[in-house]
Amino acid sequence: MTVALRLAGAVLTVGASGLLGLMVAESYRARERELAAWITALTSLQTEISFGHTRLGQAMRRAGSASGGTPARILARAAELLEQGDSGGAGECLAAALGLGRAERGRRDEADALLALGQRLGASDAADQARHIGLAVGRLEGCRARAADAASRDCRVWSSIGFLLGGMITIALL
Amino acid sequence: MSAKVRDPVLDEIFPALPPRVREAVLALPSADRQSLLEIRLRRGRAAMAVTAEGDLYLRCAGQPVICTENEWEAAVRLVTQSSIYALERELAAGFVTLAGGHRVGLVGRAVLEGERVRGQSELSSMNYRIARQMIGIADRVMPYVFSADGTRVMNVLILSGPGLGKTTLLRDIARQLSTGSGAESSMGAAPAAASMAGFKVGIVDERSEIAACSQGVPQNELGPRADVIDGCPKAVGIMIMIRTMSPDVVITDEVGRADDADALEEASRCGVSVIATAHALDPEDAMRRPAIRDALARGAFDRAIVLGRSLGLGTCERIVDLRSGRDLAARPFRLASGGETGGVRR
Repeated sequence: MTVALRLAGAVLTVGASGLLGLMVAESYRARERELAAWITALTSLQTEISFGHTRLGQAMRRAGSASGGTPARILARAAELLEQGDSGGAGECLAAALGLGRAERGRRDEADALLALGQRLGASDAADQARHIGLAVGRLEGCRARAADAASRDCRVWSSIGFLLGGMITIALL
Repeated sequence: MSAKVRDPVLDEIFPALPPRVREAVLALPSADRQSLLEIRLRRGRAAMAVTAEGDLYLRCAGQPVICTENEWEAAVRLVTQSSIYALERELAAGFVTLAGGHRVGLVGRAVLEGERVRGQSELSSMNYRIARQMIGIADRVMPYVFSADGTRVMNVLILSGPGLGKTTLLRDIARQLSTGSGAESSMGAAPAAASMAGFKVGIVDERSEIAACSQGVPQNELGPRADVIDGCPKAVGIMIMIRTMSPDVVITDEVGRADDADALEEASRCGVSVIATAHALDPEDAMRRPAIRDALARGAFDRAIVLGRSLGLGTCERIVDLRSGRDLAARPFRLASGGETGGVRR
């Protein structure tokens, strides 16, 4: 009975620890995917602005639909705030949708790139808008490359570390 | 985003006004609010309202509303819907049309490309011109729009200075021609009698002021037989309209460019009547503008309706037969007084 309990405890410890490791590894992959979705969204936004001359609120919604995921939710919220008209310009609306206060801005590279773009969105002619969006896409490409490096380096490590740590704890407790 | 003010026209304008200006308009006496013609914002200066009675400063809590930088930025953002890139052509032309056909004039520093104005930057003044459709305002001039036997629509040029009701009159003439006599409306329900005499009216609405199309649907009442080409240069639009929609009458606003005269002549050659407006005080003044002189010399117009304000806003000063030079109306008359206008739309 005692052996069975110890065995069950060991399995649970290794399983829980391994799962935590897998979750950390997944967060690296998720960040890479999210950055890819933002790049798709901004590329679509550039098309809407340069070729469609679509109003910014509608352009944000369409860009979000094209990418899906987190950008879709954030851009839809920013568009909603923008169209209400009392929440400031595109920069303020995007910051509010990203859920970042002024003090937290710049915490992550991609948020910084998006907020810098937000300050210019809709405020100039189509050619200038394309240049600003191109710059933001460039910055996000850099973030994505770094995220891909980190993911390829750390994913496998974290996947193994969880189980190894669980195993070590189990041995120590036994 | 804004309190409803029971005036559907102001409800259309309010989303494009900064909050303090909205408040100040709401604080105006009811009579001033209902006769509001323009709201003028100037960067760093006091906001003003122009009513039929004259100009007045907009006040919020007793103090004049000064357009601070924040207020100005908000106004530009609201008028352009944070989409300056989508309004390059409009900014180059100096106006943006809002839903409902209201026009916001914008001026600042012109950005030139050779001789051409490519756009504007450093905007400094805005003029919100409030469009109120006056149903029935053309009743008293309609007899002069037809030939003596009442069968043919004459080529009519409506002349006046700015803000004296040219477009309002033109819109109602279009509505009455399109509807025909007796039919009440085309919006929603079918007209009372589809076979009733009416004319196919082609509206070339370069500035989106006559029909005020939104998503392809005219926001103003124009009758059942009106077709609208929206945002198209007049000369091109007139030709497209004639070739594609076979109108009986072409309606267009503010002729005066060199190529307009050719298009108007082509229309008359095709047997299509033209009713248009132009900035001029009277036919003699119009003759000083080369394009209009050219059009008049080619016989593009039969009659001129001259608007002024000798009896108040909405006065028809003269109706002139351009062939004979004879005045057809004995004296100036009000287009409509008080209740005669049938009120504003919606």
